[in-house]
Amino acid sequence: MLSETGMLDSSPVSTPMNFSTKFHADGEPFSDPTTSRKLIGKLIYLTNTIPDITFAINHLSQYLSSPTKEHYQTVFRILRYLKGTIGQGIFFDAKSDVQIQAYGDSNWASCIDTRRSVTGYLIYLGNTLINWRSKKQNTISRSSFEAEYRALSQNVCEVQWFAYLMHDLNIPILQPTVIFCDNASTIKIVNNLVFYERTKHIEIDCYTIREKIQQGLVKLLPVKIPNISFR
Amino acid sequence: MSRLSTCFQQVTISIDNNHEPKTYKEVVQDINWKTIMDEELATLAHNKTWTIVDLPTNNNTVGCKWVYKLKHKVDGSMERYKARLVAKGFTQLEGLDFHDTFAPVAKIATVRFILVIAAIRNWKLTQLDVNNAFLHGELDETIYMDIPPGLPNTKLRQVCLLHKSLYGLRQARRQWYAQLASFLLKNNLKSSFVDHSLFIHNMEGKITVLLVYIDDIIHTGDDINNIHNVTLLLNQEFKLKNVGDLTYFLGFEIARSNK
Repeated sequence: MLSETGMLDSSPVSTPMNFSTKFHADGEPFSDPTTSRKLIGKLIYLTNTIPDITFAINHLSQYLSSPTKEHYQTVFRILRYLKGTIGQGIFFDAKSDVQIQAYGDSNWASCIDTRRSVTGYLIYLGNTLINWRSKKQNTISRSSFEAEYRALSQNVCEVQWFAYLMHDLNIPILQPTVIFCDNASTIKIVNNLVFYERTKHIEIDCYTIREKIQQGLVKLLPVKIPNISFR
Repeated sequence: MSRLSTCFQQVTISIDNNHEPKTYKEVVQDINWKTIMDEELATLAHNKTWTIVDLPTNNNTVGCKWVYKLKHKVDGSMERYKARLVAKGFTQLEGLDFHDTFAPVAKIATVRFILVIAAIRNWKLTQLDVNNAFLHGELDETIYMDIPPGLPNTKLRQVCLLHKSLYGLRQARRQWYAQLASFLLKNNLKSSFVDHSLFIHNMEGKITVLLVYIDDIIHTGDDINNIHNVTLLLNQEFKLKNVGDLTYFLGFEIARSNK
């Protein structure tokens, strides 16, 4: 891909995207949208083995119908990032237990065009990262806690799915899966059995998570590790 | 050209010299291609893919054509000619010649999950590739196909009534999956509830796992004998090729060390 785009001699960068960048739909339209779409399509397949670029790609692919110059520049930024990390893959650690762990977060109202929030989660099996996702939520959240909650409930569903898979393979699940969550109020509300007026509208998500906690499938812990390493 | 490495130069030159024909007319005089097409027709006949019938009135026929490929070795030298008869899926009519066309494939998360478990439990990972996979599928619909070019002894207004699926048919991969799944289920493998392309054989705590992505299959488990048995069974039924350690799957390179 790098040689195709003439990026072989480019200088690598250390992050796939400038973290302060926020895309919006307006801007000077890019003259050759097909090229841009092709490149992003290829990068989407790469997210199957390269978790780092998932967010950037997800963000970019929301504007496939009318890419602007700014979007196209970001594609090249990602290619430069990939150049710096070439040869890295996912390491499947053989000396590890088979306990699932998950990390979840959300980015409240971060999409400036729709003000919807973005869910992100990582699921580890032992020391190995096995699933990751970055996705714009399909409803608007009125508070950051609400966005966090929606992300968490998706995360819980995914963990449940892996639990079924482990069951099918005769792998015993010895203790509840730990989900790390960086929002204190979310953890409080999950553990508090009383509903308040302000949380009424996210009842379904609440019940999903509580049920899974009561079944002993998952438990929630605050994030303690300052940096989560991907690879 | 001169900037390419010698090895790569050879490949480019040989690909350049060996032109891949596009139509039946181009190859009908060429003995190499003729032999290979006759072989393919013989395989299809052996497979009982169709019977020749008179076309009933008011029926749609599906077109077909030959696709020609030259297979090269790694060093660029010619390996063999390949001719495949394909149906023109776009001439099929929905609701008549085909209904559903989707086939379940392995979720990427399942693939990673199985790889991690195999790494932790030190299971041997093998890869199975099914030869002419799509030709095994049985058809639910009545499909009439035009007589393929090169088929001897046919009269006007005769067509092929298809019994088995062909490459190019809209439902080919679905019918192949159905065929494989029913075979595996018959042989005591269970399809996983959370991913229907994951088949598990569980006997007295010994586990064998098959993960199916159309005609690419990952095969692993904790009992070498059992893995071997399942491979033999599959080989008898479908003819496998390239059975070996898992190195490439869906374009992912998989490397393993003993540390």
